[in-house]
Amino acid sequence: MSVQFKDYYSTLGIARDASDAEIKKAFRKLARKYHPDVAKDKASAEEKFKEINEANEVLSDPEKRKQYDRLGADWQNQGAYQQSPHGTQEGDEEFHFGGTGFSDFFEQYFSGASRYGFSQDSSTTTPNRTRPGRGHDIEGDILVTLDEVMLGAIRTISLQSVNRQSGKTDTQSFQVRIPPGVSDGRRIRVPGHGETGHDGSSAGDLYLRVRHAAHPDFSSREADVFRELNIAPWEAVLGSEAVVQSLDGPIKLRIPASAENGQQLRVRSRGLPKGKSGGRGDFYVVLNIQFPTILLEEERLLWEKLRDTSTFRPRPA
Amino acid sequence: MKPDIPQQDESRTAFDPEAEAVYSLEVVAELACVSIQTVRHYHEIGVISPTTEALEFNSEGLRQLRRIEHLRQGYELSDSGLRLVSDLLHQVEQLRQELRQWPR
Repeated sequence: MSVQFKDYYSTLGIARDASDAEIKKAFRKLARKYHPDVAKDKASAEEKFKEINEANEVLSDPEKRKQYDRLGADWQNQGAYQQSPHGTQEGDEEFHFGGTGFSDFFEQYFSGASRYGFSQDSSTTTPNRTRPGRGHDIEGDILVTLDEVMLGAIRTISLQSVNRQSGKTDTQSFQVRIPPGVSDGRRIRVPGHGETGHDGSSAGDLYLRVRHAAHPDFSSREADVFRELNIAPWEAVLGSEAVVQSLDGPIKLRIPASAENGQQLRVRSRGLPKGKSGGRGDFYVVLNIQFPTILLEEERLLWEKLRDTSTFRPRPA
Repeated sequence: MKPDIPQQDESRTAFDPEAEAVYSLEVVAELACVSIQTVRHYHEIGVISPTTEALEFNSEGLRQLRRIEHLRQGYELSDSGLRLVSDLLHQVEQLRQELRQWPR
């Protein structure tokens, strides 16, 4: 079964030579519109959001982007791409996931998903195996929104296996609980849902590797959540107050006087849950000082007055 | 993708990953289809990381064990080969994860 090539550039509505900043900007704009935690029409936005997130996952990573560009060129030259993707060569079955939030195309070329366990190919195995027919373990990625990380969720996953020789397909569907606080990179083991065993032996396991979906406003590191806050230069100098949305409601924040660009203000225990301990990570507001680009005449006069009066010297004369 | 909160009736059929599951030496050997001696040996050469000194493993430890066993059988690696490959795989995974967490 061949996979469909995905045009990630058109998904994000950007040119092929777009800069990293343009990619980030395009993603944020679309994600704000379609993110399931933010969008007004959740159901129709969901599909779109998955596509945007997948495109961002590849294009925002320089290494993956390079690989994608190479792949795209080959695809055009050959019509259908002949070369086998990495990690899916072994065994006599191929797999297609449903419900993980990622397409087959992503799964095959960018997730780094792999099968390991006991190879069925006798040429690469030693004869003294303890249980020769056990099925391979399979790995796939699963996209999880920060909202799902906050509350936990139940996801329906389907896994279709296609026998390379006989062409026989078999699809199994099952539900997997996403535990609250599940961290990015963690693998959820689903026993017995890997490759079917041979000669009555047990099936392999399925490992779903959690990928936190990028959010237009928040980013996460372990259980900590980060959010940027744009402030005016005088707010940074004089201090100020602001109301900031966290994942679970607004937080009133005091910006200290003499705040610096990039400074992180920590709000304890308002991040993501930390597994079963009941604790939570912290919420960080990252200050981002913005400068006006258009000045009214009156404003210009005030800046000039400040320049002439101030004793502040940012560098030695 | 829906932020659905687990419902009573659904949770009975949904697979629960048992976040903190810990497997004993005997169970982990059984699950990885290897002997207990093999698990001990892999521990001695430092290619698997149990969570306790009594050689108990979490699901990540089980995954490591299965991967090592696959490498040994599938590619006929020696102990030093296993050490090298598992070390490299571990580093690649860690670096990839760091790269992901890097502010974009």
